Order: sequence, then C-alpha cells, then structure tokens
Amino acid sequence: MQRLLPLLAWLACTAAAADESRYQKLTSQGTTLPPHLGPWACIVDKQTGLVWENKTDNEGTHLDAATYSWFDAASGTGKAKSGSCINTRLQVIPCDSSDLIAQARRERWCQRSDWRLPSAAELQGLLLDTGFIGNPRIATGFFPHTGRFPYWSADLRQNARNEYEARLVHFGSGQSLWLPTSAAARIRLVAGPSR
Amino acid sequence: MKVYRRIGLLCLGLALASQAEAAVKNVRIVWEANPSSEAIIGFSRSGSAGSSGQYVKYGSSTTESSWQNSATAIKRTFKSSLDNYFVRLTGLTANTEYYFRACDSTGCTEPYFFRTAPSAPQGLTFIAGGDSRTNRSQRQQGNRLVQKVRPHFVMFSGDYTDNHSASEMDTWLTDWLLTYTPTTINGVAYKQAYPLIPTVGNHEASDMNFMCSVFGVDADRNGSCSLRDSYYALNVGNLLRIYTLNTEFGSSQANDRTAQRNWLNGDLPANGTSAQWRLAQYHKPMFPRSSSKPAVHQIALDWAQVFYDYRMNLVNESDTHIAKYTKPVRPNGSDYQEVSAGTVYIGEGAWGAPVRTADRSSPWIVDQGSFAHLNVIQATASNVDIRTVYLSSEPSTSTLSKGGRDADPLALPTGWSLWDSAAVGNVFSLKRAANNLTELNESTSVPGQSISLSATRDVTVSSSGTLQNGNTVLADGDDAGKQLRALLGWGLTSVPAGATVQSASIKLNVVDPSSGSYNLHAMNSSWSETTATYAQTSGGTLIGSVVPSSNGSASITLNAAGVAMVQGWLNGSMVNHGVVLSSGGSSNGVDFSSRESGNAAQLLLNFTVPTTR
Repeated sequence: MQRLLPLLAWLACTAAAADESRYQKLTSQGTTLPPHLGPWACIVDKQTGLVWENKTDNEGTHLDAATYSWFDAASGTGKAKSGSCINTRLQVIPCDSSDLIAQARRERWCQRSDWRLPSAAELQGLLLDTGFIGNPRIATGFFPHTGRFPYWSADLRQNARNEYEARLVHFGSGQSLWLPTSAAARIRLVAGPSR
Repeated sequence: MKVYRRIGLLCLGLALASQAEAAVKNVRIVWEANPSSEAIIGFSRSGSAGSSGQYVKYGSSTTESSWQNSATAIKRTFKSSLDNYFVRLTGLTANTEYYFRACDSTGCTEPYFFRTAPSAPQGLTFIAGGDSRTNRSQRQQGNRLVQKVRPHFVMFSGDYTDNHSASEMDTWLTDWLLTYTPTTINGVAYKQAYPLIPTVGNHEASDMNFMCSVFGVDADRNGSCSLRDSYYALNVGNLLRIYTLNTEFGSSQANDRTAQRNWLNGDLPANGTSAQWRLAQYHKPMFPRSSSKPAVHQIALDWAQVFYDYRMNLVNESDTHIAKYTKPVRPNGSDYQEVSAGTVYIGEGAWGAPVRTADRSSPWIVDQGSFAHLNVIQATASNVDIRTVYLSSEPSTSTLSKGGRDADPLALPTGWSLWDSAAVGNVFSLKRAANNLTELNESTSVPGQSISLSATRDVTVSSSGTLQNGNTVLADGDDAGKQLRALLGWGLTSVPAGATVQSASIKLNVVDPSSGSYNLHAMNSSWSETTATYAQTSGGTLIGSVVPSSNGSASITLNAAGVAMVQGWLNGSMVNHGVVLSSGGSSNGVDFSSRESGNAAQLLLNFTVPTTR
C-alpha cells in the first residue's frame, strides 16, 4: 500500500492538472476565478464552450439535492411540478425542469440568459472516472455536490404507450437511461448553443 | 364586602379559565395490540407549566357526565425535554366510538373521539405511508387528506422528522392534529382522531425508544421503554393481522435484530392464520427502487422467505420517497421472482420528503413513479384495493362525512387525483388466492383510463359588453375598468359510454401570468363564441381555482362539485355548458392560449369503465 500511495498521488495530480486546463470557474456575476479560489457558480468547459451550472449544498435555487420532473413549458410536453425543489423564499415546493430554467434565466446566473437542459451527449461529455470508488463520475474539483444519481437531459422520446420519456445520464454508473417525464431527478443546467 | 365578592368572582373566573386551558396538547391515539378492546391515548405537556395528575376522561356516549376518569397517565420523556403522557384504555367495546378529553390538574383539552376496531367481519378503509421528515407543507397536506378520508386507522412506516429532535417531534405531533376531522355531534364540536400504528425509520435510529416515549408502545408490556417495543403485531378483527417491524437495528444491536427475526419466525406460523389477510410495514425496502439507495437491504430481505412461507399478503415499505407496486412475488436468492400468487410490496414513502428518481427497473414491478403520495387501502374478506393518492390533490378532495363513514366502511371522498399506474389504472386490486397468498384481481379490477380533450370553443367576454375571440383567452378583475372572463367548453363524444370520472383537471397554456387567484365556475346557460355575454357568466358553482403565476402549463384540479359536473355532462343529467374562469379579486390579468392558436385549453379526465375482462 505504501508503494501505491505515490502512484495515487501522481494520478490525482495529473487528473487535477487536466481538469484545470479544461475547466474555468465563474462567479455568479460571470467573473472568472482561478482554479484554487471560490465560491463559484458556473464552470466553463473550454473544450466545448459550454457553461455549466455549479450545484451547491446551500438551500436555494441551485441546491444539489433538488429534484425535478421533466417539463417543457413552451410546448406543454412532459409532467409539470412533480419534483421537490426549494424556491427563493427557501420553501420546499413541487417543481419541474422548466422552473429551474426559468429561474436561472431570471437570475441571469453567471450573466447568462440561455440556460437550458443539456443533451445526453453534452452530459456524457462530463463523465470522468476519477479512479476513486464511491466518487461520482465527474471532475469533482470543479463539479462538487454532484450526486451518484441520474441527471435529466433534453433528449425526449415517446414510448409504446405514447407517453413521453426523457433520457438521463447517471453520474454513479456512467450509464444513460430513459424514464417517464413524471420521474423526479436532478438537473445540471447548461448555457450555450446546442451541439 | 364588595371587595371580597370581587376577589371571589375573580378566583372563580380563574378557576374556570384554567379548567378550559389544560397544560396538555397534541393528543394522539395509538394501536399496539387488541384494537377491538384497547387503545393508547397519548398527549404532551404544553409549555413549561408544572401541571400534574395527567389523566383521560372518557366514555362511549356524548353525555360527558357519564364519562369515567382513567388511572393517572404514565409519563415518558423524549430526548430529555418532550414530556409525554400515556393512558392505555382496556376493556373497550369493539366497533364503538369513545369520546374523551386529555386532562391535567389545570383543565382538559377539547373533546375528541375515536372508534375501536370491529371484531366482526367488516370492510376497512385505512391509510399507509411514511417519510414526512422535511417537506412540512406536503406533510400537512397529507395530514389533511387523512382528515378527509376518515380512515379506520393509519399505518406510518417511519421517518417522521429529519433530526429526530424533541422540537421537531413536537412540531410533527402538532401537525398530526391536522389528520383529525372536525365533527359536530349534538351541537358539540368534536374532532375524530384516527389510531396510528407507528414504525421506526432510519431518521429515528438515534433513539428508537421513541416508539414508547412518544407513542406509548409497550409491546412487551413490561412498563418500560426498550427496543423490544419497536416491533409488534396486532389483529384488526379477524380481517387483518398487521406486523410492524424495525429495519434499523445496527451492527451493535445484532441481538435485537436476531430476537426480532426469531419473534417473526414464531409469530407468523402461530398467529398469522388468525386473520384473513396478513400485512406488514417497515421502513427500508428489501429492494429500493432508486439507485441513490443500496440495491438491497438485507435486514428486510431476511424476512422474505418467512413472509412467503406464511402467506404475507401485502407489505408497505418506505424510505426511498417514490411510489411503487410490485406484482405478487416470492424470494429468489437475492431477488424476487414473479409468481401468480405471492406477496405484494408497495411503497416507498413520500408523505413530505424529497422525492427521488425511481430508476431501478425489475421485471416484477407493476409500476413506479416519483411523487408525494399516500396509499388508501380498502380490505374486505375477498379483496384488497389500493389507491395511491397525490398529496397535491388534497385541496380538491371532498371530506367524507361521519354519516358517510358510519353508513359505509368503504366509502371514499371524491375529487382527488389517483396514480394512473401502468396496466393497473387507478385501483390496484388484489385478491386472496386459494393458498391464501395474493393474486392480482384481474377478473374484477377496473382499469383506469385517461383522456385529454382540447377545448372546442373559447371566448373572452367583457363587462363592457364586447367579445374577444383571438389567439388568447383572457381573464382579469380590472382591465381599464372592465372585467374580463374566459369561457371554455369541450365536446365529450370521445369519452367511452358508461365512464365513471375519478378525477378531472383543466390545463391552460399561460402566455401572460398573474400573481392573482382565479376561480373556475360552472356555466349555467348555453353560449357560443359569437353570442356569449358577460351577464350569463355569474352564479355557477365554484369548481376549482388557480394562481397562474408562470408562463406555461397551469393546471386546475376540479373539486368534487367539478367532478360531479363532468360526470353529469357524461350521464346527460347536466347540460354541458362548459366553464368560466374569472378573477378572484386580482386586477393582475392572465392570458392563455386559445383553440385558435392551436394550443387549446385541455380537459383531462381520469375515469373507469365497466369491464368484463
């Protein structure tokens, strides 16, 4: 085990350096932060140009443990108000993906007003095996408060019962899955043009 | 002399005032054994008053002068600060109402009543749920739903509060009062209380003796609190035998865990056949339906074989904060195997806790979902029917009257929203197989159906006498001095003949939201998009309300009167004049899409139709 420790330390340092070259922290006002500073509200993926919402354990709009049903308010598609989130008055309320998107846009979170659900491919682009059992599959140094849970994507389909299902990416298993839009799951929003 | 008289009157007044204000609160009824003849009445000390001599006055009639006083209540303190008092009433008559007040040396509470369990065969309506720890508004909503159902009893499968502190539990007990139904009898205002069958959850693991110190359970009747009080069984007549088990014994409590298992292994063969149906409740599921939980909880899985061997029919699990129904199953190694007759598992607790993603699929699952709910279960000798009720539909749910419950133990409220689960519909119906295990009741179950109908007519009428029939429909309490109301109508020819409406709602696509409340009323006279008048929009029955506070979908769940109205439209007993949306006083108007825009208001119906399958 003693011989393994330097190897593990080297792996961790190498991974951290790679993360730092790919990701950039932003404050809620959109100001860039160096990797060792915080708190930060968003993360820029310099590879894709996308800006990701950072989650937090503070109760409020961006709470990590909040869940949402999948709902597109513009088309009325999906299931409204079937998750549990916390509003700006710190009350637990039923909510859906459109609520989080609307709130992030209203806040101009990180100076962006184009917040949306990411595609499954965009979410999968965040997957990273850190090598540590029990960690979520993501660069946890930049994306803390990520759960080993499924996260909604924007991908939508109709099943054999003509019910809408949306795709999720699981940051514990790395797998993707389809669930009815009435399911409650976590969300990490993204801003930037869809690919 | 006048001074002495005044002092005397003052003393009398103080005495009367103190009589009316007992220093006790949060009355609850608990069933732990023999509910046909026993009940535990618990209550807590209020404030820091140094009252003493706590007891219960009770009787089986409303004539209070005939009530008797119980023995002095036993005091038990939870977490060093929440003082609770318990009286175990014994020798009660089955299926009888008992009226009571909780008292101390300073006075008595308001009057309550409860009903003992029947001893003769009789249908029962009861509620099963759990996990109320964090979302207090949802917890209260669920409690008010209990109030409206008037169940015979409630099974609660753990995780009452988050931190299991005295203050949190005190708040929970206060919220529990919302389950009681205000009921006036002979001019006296009572509250009907429903017996609770409590369970330990993982959020109670720091002090599992709360079963005794908060709820008065003393399963081993030794007069003191111990972990033995966290598992027990009781018979509700000869219809149900209900097992309450504890999944929270940790590694340091291996002996207790073994003792519980040995007790279950002995009790089920010995006493399981004393009732027609065997039920169980405990907190952690054998196989949680969310990947955010372990794949299996071994302590529960250890019971699966004895459940199957000794005909456990229905199990209510909790902890994951999702909804699920399983098919009849038997254990198969570290999994279930679907069988034609087996044990059915439901759950998993969402009575005010953050829902999780139900993302574990298994072939033995009927359906699963993520929403706040509780289960309303009805048992007869032949069937058990389960309805999973959305807590969000509590406001539109009617309250069953005492007369309604007394006349029919299987009566149910109307106006609620039920889970329309895949392949089952609104009612998950089970029957007892020849071998006394559980089968799906496919021969008599009534599949739920739903339909979404687009408005076939809609128009805005103004108090100024004008009509507006464009791409939006408007309602406003003050639009430059005018009032605007939105008329909506639907054709119902695509609804199957003979449909019985279970619930109905109207969905609007809001394009200009309002912070105000808007009311939906029945229209009482015929109208068209070219002839409607403002004058004819008044006077209809209130059938729902909404605050359309954001763009996108706004849903209005119809109340009991609204459901009855739609049923009348379908039966032909009422003319389908549609509905009108009007401001509840707000001058902040709402606009929503009209049928002309291609995104018409929707009427969503959940209904059943007679079936012979």
